[in-house]
Amino acid sequence: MKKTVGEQELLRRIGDLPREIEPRNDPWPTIAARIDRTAERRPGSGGARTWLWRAAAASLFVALAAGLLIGPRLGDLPTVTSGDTVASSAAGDLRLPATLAANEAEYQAAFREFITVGRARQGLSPQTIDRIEAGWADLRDTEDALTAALAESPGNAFLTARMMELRARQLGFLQQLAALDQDYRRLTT
Amino acid sequence: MTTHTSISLQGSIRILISVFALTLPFSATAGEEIEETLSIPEDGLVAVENLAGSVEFVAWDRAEVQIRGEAGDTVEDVEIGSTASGVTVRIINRSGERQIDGTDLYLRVPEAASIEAETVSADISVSGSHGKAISLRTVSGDLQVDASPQRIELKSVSGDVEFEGSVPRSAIETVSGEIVVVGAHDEIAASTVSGDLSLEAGEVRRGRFEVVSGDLVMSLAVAEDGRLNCDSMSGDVRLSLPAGQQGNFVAQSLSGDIHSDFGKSSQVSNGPGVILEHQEGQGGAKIRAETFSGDVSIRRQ
Repeated sequence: MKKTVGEQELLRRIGDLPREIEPRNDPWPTIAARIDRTAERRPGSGGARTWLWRAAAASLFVALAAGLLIGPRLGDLPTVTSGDTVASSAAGDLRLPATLAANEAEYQAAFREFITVGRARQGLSPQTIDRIEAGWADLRDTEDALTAALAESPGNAFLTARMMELRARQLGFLQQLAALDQDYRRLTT
Repeated sequence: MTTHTSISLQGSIRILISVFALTLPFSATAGEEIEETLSIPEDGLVAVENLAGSVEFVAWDRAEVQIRGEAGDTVEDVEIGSTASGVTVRIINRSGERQIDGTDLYLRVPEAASIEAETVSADISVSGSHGKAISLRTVSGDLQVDASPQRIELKSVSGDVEFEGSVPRSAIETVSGEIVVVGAHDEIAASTVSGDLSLEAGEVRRGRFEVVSGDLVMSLAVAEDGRLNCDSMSGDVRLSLPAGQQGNFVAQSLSGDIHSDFGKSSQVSNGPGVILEHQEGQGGAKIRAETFSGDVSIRRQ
């Protein structure tokens, strides 16, 4: 119990930390200038390259988040339900930007192990399970719609940003399910 | 030097007392009545974990926590502990039960105390508190807070979340539940997947709102140097701002419409969708709303 209080205090202190810290020097203008100079030397390149570098950084961040935050927590979660491994999407078949495709691979790998509520399922009412599954179905429907739109407009910055936001939401959803399993285990003997 | 040593010794004694003497384990099992009153600092922390049933916090003007309830039939143990910084309550249920019999807990807590609670299906409510922080997490329970703390963090999967009061920092998250917030201001982050998100806020310095298929309906003002970001996939974004709101507006939708009292939208020049880019007055506020297939509405109040 003392350990729990210690953790709570630690979490509270973490919560008190500033959400954003402005860097003393913003390195991006220098990096962007270098990229632009490189782009000028290459035929057929343009402003889109600057965006792609930003997308690459964001994709790497999401991929790392999937690996660091989610992967290790999933290893010991048992899969209770059959067919819960929701293989995602035709997204991998599309001609996505390379950075987004790499992100997709990481996401799929993390996701295959993750869609489970473990032992907690027995503590949930059918209505709750329905609502959780409906929430996930909404995310999947949106994913399908975005995937189709990206197929028509590959490389569209707006759509790519939406897809990455959706991935973040999906991972957040899965994190909540993992936390549910952990809570259930902690509160039962 | 002597004084310094003396103070250190007193400090050590105080630590020993807080570690050993204030730990008061309480124990109860299935069907037993829970009734315990413990002293804590006025700004201490009250933390509760309860799988099913309900947890109700009501603030009072004493530096004490009063815990009342009746342990459910599937309860293995009720642990109530006290340290120098606060009180913890854990309801432990037997595993393997087909159905958990819920435990209803009723707690009176100091007005300035911080509150933390985690449940699976238990509803959680808080009223009257103005402590440093309120942090509530549930899966299918509803969260209801009528308070004015310095910070709230409310998380649910399928339960609804309601807040009314005044709070300068808030983070609210649900999947399929609805979110209704009245009285938040300054820093607000809220997200839902299929539930609707409704917000009546004061002046916002940093606002981030995300929905997937639910609608986002908000009434607020953005501070002069504030940032407001609204993201939706298929849900609508309906934003109501003061008539004199200044700032830079950017809105975009792929297949939905944009209706705005602040500037006019146009077709995206090099792709599908509509976009709005507009500067209103000289203000430095940045207001952004983006949807995939939903509509965006930005209106003057």
